[in-house]
Amino acid sequence: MSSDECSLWRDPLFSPGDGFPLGPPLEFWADCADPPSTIGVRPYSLHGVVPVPTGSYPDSVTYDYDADRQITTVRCTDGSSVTLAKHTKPGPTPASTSGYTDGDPKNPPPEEMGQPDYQAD
Amino acid sequence: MTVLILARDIEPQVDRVVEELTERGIPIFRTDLAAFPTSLILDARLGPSGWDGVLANPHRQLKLSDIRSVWYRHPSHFVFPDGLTRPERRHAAAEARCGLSGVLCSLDVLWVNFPSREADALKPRQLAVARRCGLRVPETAVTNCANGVRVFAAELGRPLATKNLSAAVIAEAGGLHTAYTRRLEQADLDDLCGVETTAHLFQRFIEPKAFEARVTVVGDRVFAAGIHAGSEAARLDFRSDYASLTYSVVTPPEQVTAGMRAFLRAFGLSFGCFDFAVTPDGEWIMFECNPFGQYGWLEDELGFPITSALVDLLADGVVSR
Repeated sequence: MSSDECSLWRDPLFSPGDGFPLGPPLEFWADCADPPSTIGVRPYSLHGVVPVPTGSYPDSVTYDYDADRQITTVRCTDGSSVTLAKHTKPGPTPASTSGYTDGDPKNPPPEEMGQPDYQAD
Repeated sequence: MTVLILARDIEPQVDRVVEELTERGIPIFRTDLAAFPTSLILDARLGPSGWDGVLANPHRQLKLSDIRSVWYRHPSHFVFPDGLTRPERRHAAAEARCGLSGVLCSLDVLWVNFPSREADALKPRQLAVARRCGLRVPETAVTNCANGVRVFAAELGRPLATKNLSAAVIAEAGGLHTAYTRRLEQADLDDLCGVETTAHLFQRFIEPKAFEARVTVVGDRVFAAGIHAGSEAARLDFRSDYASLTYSVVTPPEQVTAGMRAFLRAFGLSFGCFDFAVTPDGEWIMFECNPFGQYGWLEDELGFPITSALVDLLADGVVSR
C-alpha cells in the first residue's frame, strides 16, 4: 500500500461501534505518511505521543504461516525454524525499553490498536 | 465439533491456544478475515434451524453446524482483489461485513467475545457500568470543552490525568506513535488547545498507588497480577517502562471480583482484562476493561494458566444466558 493510497483510508485511529469490528490491514501500520497537523488543530490527546520502538527482533527472521498446523513459524538466518509461540514472548504493548514483544514489530498487538472497527474508505 | 478462531496470522497468544487445542485433539479452523474473499469461501444456506453451509480455505473446510465455539481475536480487514475502484471497494466491504458477520453471528454458539458486545464496551460506558456493578472508578470527564476541563479540575481540587478513549497507537509520519497516560500540571490547564478538536477523557490522577493490577477473567476464572512500577515513568503509565516492572500474584477483594463478573455479564462478555490502581489502603480503582487484552506476558511472568483456561472455555462451548 502506497502512502498516497494509505491516506485514502478513513482514519488511522479506529472508532468503535460497529457490529463486526475489524482491524486494519497489517501493512497499514507502517505506511501512513501523513505528518502531524499544526498545534491548535491536532487533538490534545495526541500531544506528547512518542515513537513506538521498532523492536528487538532482527529484521532477518522470516515469519511463515503454517497452514497445516495453523500457527506461525519463524525462520532464522541460520536456517533453523521454530514456532512463533516458542520464539516470541507474547507481549502486552509497545515497550519503550524492553523492545517490541508481540511477534511482528510492524504490527501493534490488538490491545494497543484500540477497539477494532476499521472500515476501508 | 470445531473451534473457529478468527484472528490475525501472526499472534503468539493465538498460536499457544491453537497448540493446546491440537494437543487435546480438538479440531480447529483458524483464519484471518483478510483471507476473505480471495482465499476464504463462505457458502451458506438458511435452513429450518438457522444458517448452515461451509467456510473453506485451500487447506480445510468447516461445516457451520460443526462449530462449537468462536474465538474472535481482532481479525484484520477484508482484502479485496486489485482493480476495484474506491466506491466498489466500499461496497464490497459493506457487503462482506453484512454477509459474513450476519451468517456467523447468527450461529448459536459460544463467542469469546461476541463482536458487537466487544464493540459496545466503550470506555465511558464501561465506567458507568462498572460503577453500577459496585466497582470504584476515578472521577471522570469526557469533553471537547477546554473550560470544562478547568472547571472539572477546580471542582476536584486534585491533579488530573488524560488518556486516550480509543486506540493507544497512531500511524503517522511514516511510523507508529503511542500516547501514554499524562498527568496534567497547572501549565497544561492553561494551554488546552486541541481539546476542542475531538472528545477527550480526563480523570482524577490516582495517587498514591501501592501498585497497579491487571486482572484477566476467563469465564469464571480470575487471574490477578500486581504490577509494581520501578521508575517514575512506569508509575505514570506502566506501559512506558516494562523493564522496570516486577509482578506478583494478588487477590482482589471479594466485592471487586463480584463486580468484575457482574460487569462482564452486563456486557455479555466471557473474557476481559481489567486494569486497576490499588491504593496503599487497599482500595481497588478500575480504569478500564479490555475485552481483547493481552495476557501472554503475565502467563510467562507468573505462570498463570490463562491459555488453558481459554482452551477449557472454547472446548466446553457452553453459552451462558
